[in-house]
Amino acid sequence: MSALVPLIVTLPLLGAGIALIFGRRRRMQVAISIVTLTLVFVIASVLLVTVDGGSPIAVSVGGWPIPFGIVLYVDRLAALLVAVSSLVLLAVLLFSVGQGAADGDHDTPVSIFHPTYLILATGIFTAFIAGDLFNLYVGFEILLVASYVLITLGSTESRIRAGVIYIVVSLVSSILFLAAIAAIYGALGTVNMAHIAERMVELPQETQLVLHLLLVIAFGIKAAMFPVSFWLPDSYPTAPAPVTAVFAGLLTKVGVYALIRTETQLFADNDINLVLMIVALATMIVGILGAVAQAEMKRILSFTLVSHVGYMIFGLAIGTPAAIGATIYYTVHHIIVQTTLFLAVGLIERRAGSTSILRVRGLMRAAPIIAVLYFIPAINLGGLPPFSGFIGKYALFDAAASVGTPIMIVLIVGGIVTSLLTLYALMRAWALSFWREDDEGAEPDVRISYLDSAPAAGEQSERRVIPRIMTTATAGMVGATLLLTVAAGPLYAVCDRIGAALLEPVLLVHVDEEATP
Amino acid sequence: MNISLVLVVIMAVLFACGVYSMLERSLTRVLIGFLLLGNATNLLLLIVIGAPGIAPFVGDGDPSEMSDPVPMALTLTAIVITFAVSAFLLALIYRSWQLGQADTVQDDHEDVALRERTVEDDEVMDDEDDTEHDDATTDFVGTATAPITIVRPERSAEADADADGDADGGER
Amino acid sequence: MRLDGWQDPVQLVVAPIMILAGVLAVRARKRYTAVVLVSVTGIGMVTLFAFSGAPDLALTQILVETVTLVAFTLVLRRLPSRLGDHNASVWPVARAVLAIAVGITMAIVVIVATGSRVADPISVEWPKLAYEIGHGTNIVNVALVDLRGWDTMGELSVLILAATGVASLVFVTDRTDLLSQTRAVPRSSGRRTDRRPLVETTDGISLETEHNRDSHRAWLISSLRVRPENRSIMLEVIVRILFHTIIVVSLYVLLAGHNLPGGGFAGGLIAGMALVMRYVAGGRHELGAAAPTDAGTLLGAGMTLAVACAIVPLFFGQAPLTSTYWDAVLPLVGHIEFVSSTIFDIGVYLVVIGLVLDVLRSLGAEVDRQAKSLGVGAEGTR
Repeated sequence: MSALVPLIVTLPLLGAGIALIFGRRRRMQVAISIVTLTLVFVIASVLLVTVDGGSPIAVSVGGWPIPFGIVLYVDRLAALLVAVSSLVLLAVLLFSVGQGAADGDHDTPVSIFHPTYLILATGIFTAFIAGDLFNLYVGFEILLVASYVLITLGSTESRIRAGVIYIVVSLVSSILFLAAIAAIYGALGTVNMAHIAERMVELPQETQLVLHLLLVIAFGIKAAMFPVSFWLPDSYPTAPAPVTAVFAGLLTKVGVYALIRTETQLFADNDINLVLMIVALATMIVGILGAVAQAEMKRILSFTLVSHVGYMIFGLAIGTPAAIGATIYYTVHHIIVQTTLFLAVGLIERRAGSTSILRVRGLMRAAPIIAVLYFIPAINLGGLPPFSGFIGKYALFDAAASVGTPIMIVLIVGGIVTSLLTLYALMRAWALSFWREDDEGAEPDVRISYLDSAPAAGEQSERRVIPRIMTTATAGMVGATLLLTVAAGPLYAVCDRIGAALLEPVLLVHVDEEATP
Repeated sequence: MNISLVLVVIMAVLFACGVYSMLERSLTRVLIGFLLLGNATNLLLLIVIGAPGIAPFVGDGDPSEMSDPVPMALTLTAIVITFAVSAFLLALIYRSWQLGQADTVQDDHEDVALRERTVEDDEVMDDEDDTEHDDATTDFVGTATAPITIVRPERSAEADADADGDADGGER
Repeated sequence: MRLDGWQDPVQLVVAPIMILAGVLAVRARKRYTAVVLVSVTGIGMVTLFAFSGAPDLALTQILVETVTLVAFTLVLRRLPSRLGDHNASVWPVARAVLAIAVGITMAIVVIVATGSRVADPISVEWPKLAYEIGHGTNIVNVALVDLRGWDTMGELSVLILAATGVASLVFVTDRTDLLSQTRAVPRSSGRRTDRRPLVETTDGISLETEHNRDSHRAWLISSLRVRPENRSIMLEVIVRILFHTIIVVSLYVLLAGHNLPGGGFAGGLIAGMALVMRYVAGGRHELGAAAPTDAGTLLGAGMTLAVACAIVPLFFGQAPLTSTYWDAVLPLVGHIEFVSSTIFDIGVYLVVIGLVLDVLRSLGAEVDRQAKSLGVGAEGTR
């Protein structure tokens, strides 16, 4: 089994290397990307079943004794997230292949897009299976630099402009992360995460607090946590639709993942839960108020993305096993649903030639399939029962209520308000774009006239044909969101086990017999 | 472990300078700031080596006298990543300047209107189009800084290569 | 913990220089001045590394500083020399306060963190491990290609991304309209269909044909495209003579790295410097003649080689990146040692050359071409 673990990272890298050598052959590049990501998905699923039934797998790279070399560490959390993210990456890849086939690769030049996309996947997977803090940093760097290339793809003025904000913010967070690693090494003399956790308890609380805050700020920027979330809605919406979808679904979640590890394992002994609660509340409320003030769908979704990161931080701040389990379920739900919504909006943009809810109208009659593909994930994100969004939020609130302190009550209320406002923002877009008839007069609705001055309210692009593969990819993702609800029982059980396992003290894992030379 | 106050002071100053410069709106200054921050972080890694010893080569002396090799390995990786990112930022600076220049030359009305609106709306990082305020010369003799974006669209790259003659094919 | 004033007198010499250079770099009015001042802080780092028992870091940092400076120069020759007023300095006071706060915070963090060191670092075991398992005496190099080779593999992908990103940003020569025509360019522009060598004839340099097969091969080909008054024959000849020597040196640094300072990254940068020299001396066509192959191929091949080193041991039931050691006594040559992690280092070497080549091709040659196609710029190609 342990031979499968390194393949999660090496296969996409190998694919990228080959894709670079055959830079001109479009079909080959597409085939390589699809095959690699499918393989990773299969491997991750096998690993998930294995580790769920047994103990976590640790592989020492190069066969060096632990903790002197780098360790790849796959527990339920890592396997689950690799499986989910490879699925999402695959769906978005198919979507972009369809788009490229229809548009002649204007938006996503293959010779740049495919190698970069595969390396982006590598970075995400590296981060998920890293058992070494510095290797986690390398994983972050890979995915960030890949995202710099993807966000400036095509180098139009708006993308460069949006890219610059994103890049500068990311650079700052990377440097903070590296500085934090250096400081941790200074205090503990190690970079292996389990080893860090083991030695961390010996440090005085003040030192722990300093290191803890440094890491939380670095990861918080990546996870788009308030007050360092301002960059996200400005930079994501301008990228090509598939790029935005994968960024929205996955990149912030890698930050959330790092926060989960930090809170539960690295600093099990040092708690900043009160700070996190305030941050969570602010992230939820400020984000969703931003969404309500937007008139352009991609911006609305970007703001809901920021706001829903608040739920995950909320769960982390509660800190009980049930809450951590709920956080993980919510993270998986959010990865899939948010990506699906961005893909659906990508379809709307092609069909209607705009994503401004002031301009788009009459889609219900014109494009009933897109209507379904938008509506299901939208009410899911809004938290209507019986969908996964409702299950995740309910579990979070339940965990908070069982703690029962006044601040928990405040957070629960904040969470419910956020949920309702999300539903309002998404359903307003639904009503205006899908149900408003084409001939309802050119006069803009007075009730939404305050949106006229919102950014990109007049946004317009050309209408384009929608190849079947794009609809199929989106439909597949919608199917995945439904599966989250249908299979909520077993999935939630896994998340609960993760939550319980994460809060147990970490032992320095000793390498499997077969992995030692 | 022993650390050197002098190094801590240099590091603090470089961090301060880097942060100050990275918050500027000019991309060149952002890159300058990034390089300073990169050096500051490497210095931080150098500080956590502790008291300097002999170079870590097996057989050159007692292992306890060697400088700690772990931060060195991390620093090497960090140096390389900083190098890669700054190469990318340089291309971004060039591209950003190129777009800024091009916009003063060719634009349709809709673009102009759109840009005016966006410029007012969000005070984003500026591109490098500051020629109006400066003498439009570079530090490099004989190179005019004229706009250079507009390549005739009807000419493909292949056609260009052909027109350039055989020697251009030798760019491989 | 002890907080020494200084550990080495050199630190006292370097400190004021680096601090001054850092502050001035932030305040500089001209781009190039700022860049050079940043380089000064970089050279300060080199000195500190060299006097802290870190020769590998010193070697790598000085090479990186050089290549970065070259790349800066390539871009800055197109940009206005002065940094404008209108896009600088918003809220200078607030920013200064924030910056100083960050600086002080970091100083406190490092003092607090190192002050509570609780246990021996993991590196106490490294020398023994490096020699017994890694079969190398240069611990830092063994760490890079073997102990922490997984990180290096990630770092290679960052280099590839940077190269791809640079090409993506520069080769897109118009909004998006030209993209479809140029999209193949970053990776494989002008694939040479005609591989015939150039030869000297009485009429000047031309392609080899049936008639001139006996003539000498052309040596300095920039006479084809560069105006005579813009050439420096002396420089071209010297560079041409040195080129192969430098490549050999870079190979030596690459292969010696396991036991002496050096390794794939330093070697690759040295080879990259050789390419830089050819470009500076003879322009983009000379670069074309010097470059071994397409940058994309180099990057892809290097990556594939490095990843293969990680995957192959899996087939033998070992951990990824496990190195194998052979030694043999060959007639005439003597005792030969070979560690399979050297193959990994060769992958690093190729990727680094690929990156330098891509930077030169994009920020150098392509920028030249874009300038030339508008008839501005006076770099002297005709």
